[in-house]
Amino acid sequence: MTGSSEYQPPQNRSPQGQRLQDAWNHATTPVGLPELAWRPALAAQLSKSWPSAREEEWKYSPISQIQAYQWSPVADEVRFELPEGVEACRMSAVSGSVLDRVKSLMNIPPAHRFNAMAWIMDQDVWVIRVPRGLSPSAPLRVFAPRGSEGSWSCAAWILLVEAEAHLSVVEYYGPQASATSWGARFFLESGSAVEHLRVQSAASDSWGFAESIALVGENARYVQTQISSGGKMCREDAVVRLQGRGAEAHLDAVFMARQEQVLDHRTNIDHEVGDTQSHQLYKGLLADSARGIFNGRILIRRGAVGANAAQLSQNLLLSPQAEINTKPELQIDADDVKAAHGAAVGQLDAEHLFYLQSRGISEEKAKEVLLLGFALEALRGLRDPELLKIGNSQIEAEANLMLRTRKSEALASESSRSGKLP
Amino acid sequence: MSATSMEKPALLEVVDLHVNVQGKPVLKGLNLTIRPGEVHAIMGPNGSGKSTLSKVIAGHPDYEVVSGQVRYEVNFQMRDLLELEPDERAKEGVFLAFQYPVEVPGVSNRNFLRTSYNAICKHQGTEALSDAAFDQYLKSKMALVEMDEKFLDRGVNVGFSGGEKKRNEILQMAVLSPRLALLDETDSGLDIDALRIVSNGVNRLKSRHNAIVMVTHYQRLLDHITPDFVHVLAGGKIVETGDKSLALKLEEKGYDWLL
Ligand SMILES: Nc1ncnc2c1ncn2[C@@H]1O[C@H](COP(=O)(O)OP(=O)(O)O)[C@@H](O)[C@H]1O
Ligand SMILES: [Mg+2]
Repeated sequence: MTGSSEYQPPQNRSPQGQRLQDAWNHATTPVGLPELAWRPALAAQLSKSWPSAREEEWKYSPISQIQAYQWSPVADEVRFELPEGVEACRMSAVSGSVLDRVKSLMNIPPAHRFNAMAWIMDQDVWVIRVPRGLSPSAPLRVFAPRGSEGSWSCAAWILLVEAEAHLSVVEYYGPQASATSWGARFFLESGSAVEHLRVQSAASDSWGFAESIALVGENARYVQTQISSGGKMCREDAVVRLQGRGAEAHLDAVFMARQEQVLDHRTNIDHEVGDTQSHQLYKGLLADSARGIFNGRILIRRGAVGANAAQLSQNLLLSPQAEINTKPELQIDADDVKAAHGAAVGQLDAEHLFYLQSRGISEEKAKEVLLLGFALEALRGLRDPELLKIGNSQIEAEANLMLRTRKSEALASESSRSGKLP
Repeated sequence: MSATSMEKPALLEVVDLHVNVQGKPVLKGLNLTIRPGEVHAIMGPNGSGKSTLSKVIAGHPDYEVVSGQVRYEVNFQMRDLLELEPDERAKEGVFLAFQYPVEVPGVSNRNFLRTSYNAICKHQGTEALSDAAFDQYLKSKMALVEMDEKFLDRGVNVGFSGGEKKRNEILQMAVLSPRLALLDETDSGLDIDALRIVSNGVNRLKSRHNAIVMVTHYQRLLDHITPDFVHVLAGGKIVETGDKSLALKLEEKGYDWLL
């Protein structure tokens, strides 16, 4: 890209921006792949100034805070626990039809420059393959790198699920690094099914950029459930392309943010063909002066007759300083489709509270039960008992943490009030 | 009133109760006395304040008591019920089967019942049941209202039919065994089989020690559960009290002759 409109004066370059760009410039195309079409555009973005709050994309993010740092971008190792029959090999070693699929996955541009870092820094990612018709009883466990302080940890992986295969996946994403770029790309062949649970529990001072991209084939079913509670700021992008008739995606999430945390969730669902379904339930639980962001994009392409898209964003604000920015973006270019979206922001329902109290449950306990119930609904898409168990205990632990801090704050404000008495 | 009922001390006494809802007077000097072992039916036109009375007794925060008293027997002493929080009332044995039970998504029926039962056990100084023991206890109560176990792992009332919600209310009553049960139009919207099941359940839960107040529009419920008293609530007051024959008269003549 050339032209005077692209010129940026060098003083706009931040230390962190310079670091990232240097790393990017040294990185080559991932091993075994031709030049990626999206690379130049994202490289150009990195070489420009640091993203500012004026850009729609980063409007609600405190992203500018990172630019003063000089964290080193490093490629970190991903760890896997493979169920029986599931295979793993490096991207550089794949060939034939597997390589074709990897290519079609890799051709999709990352949602933004920091997600791109995951794929540029991590040169030779693991490709996990579930052979045709296989349905392992145990889940695939994936451990994102923990990284270290002062580093910008980058890692990614690829999952190919062959026809009629079924797999459960648990992704543990709990970095200690100062910043992370974490990517996952899934290819679901016809008639396959994936239940994917991602547990985000980043360290409280870390910045995270995670992305998942799924290509879903004919009659394939992709369920993604995210539980996010960590990080100073964590953004998670979920991209789904429904490419075959009968393809389904269920994207559910609960994000529980406290203190000054910012948890940012973006979804982008593309109904490329007709008779496809997408269902989304995004639940925000926001305490203190935390901020939640949900941005849900749905595209129903021309000719995608019979597509059905439903999106619901539900949010509970537990303090007057907490904030949620929720925005649906629907683009419907086809006739005879169903598309519904809704957003709700509120406090706990007074009638629900009274109902529980009228059964002998104290107000405090009733609030606990309702809060937990609100969060647990995010698990509605999971069938695998193992994933449900992990999801349940993670949500319970995080909800309890949220309640405990609320309780101790209530006590603190009570004692400070009584302290003022003469 | 019969001589036997006069001998017993009251379980609930409502004296000259005035209640506003959103600033509008709804109950205007209501009096009612209920003793253990009694079954009362409250009938009356729509909007006359029947649900308001039930909600005030249960402690709903939207209802403002302007004047009057609601006293309730706790440990052989009459206490001011209005001073107690809703959960404290429930712990002392007050139970309201709601006219319109709410759906509580995300909270399983089983978890809800167990939390409620354990809260009441704790208050009464008995030990909470283990999960397995509670499930066993619950099973016996579910049989009473002929409810399928699949309802236990669904969200409270979520996706239940009108009749299933009412049955779930009676299941809660069975689990908590209250001393004062207010059933607000529990019979409305029930088919004949469901009405029989619910009435059988209530009859089995009836004892010398507890009292049941049924708000209803229909004689058919009273064919199943025989009331000792029938009251007519109109214009925010009890305007007529009689025995079960009053219900028959109301069925025949309507309320106009009383207004
Ligand atoms: N929560 C409420 N908000 C506003 N008005 C109410 C509320 N509850 C009851 N009312 C009003 O109070 C009056 C009595 O209602 P209710 O007690 O429900 O009557 P009933 O149960 O006898 O049909 C009605 O006029 C009704 O509209
Ligand atoms: Mg009513």
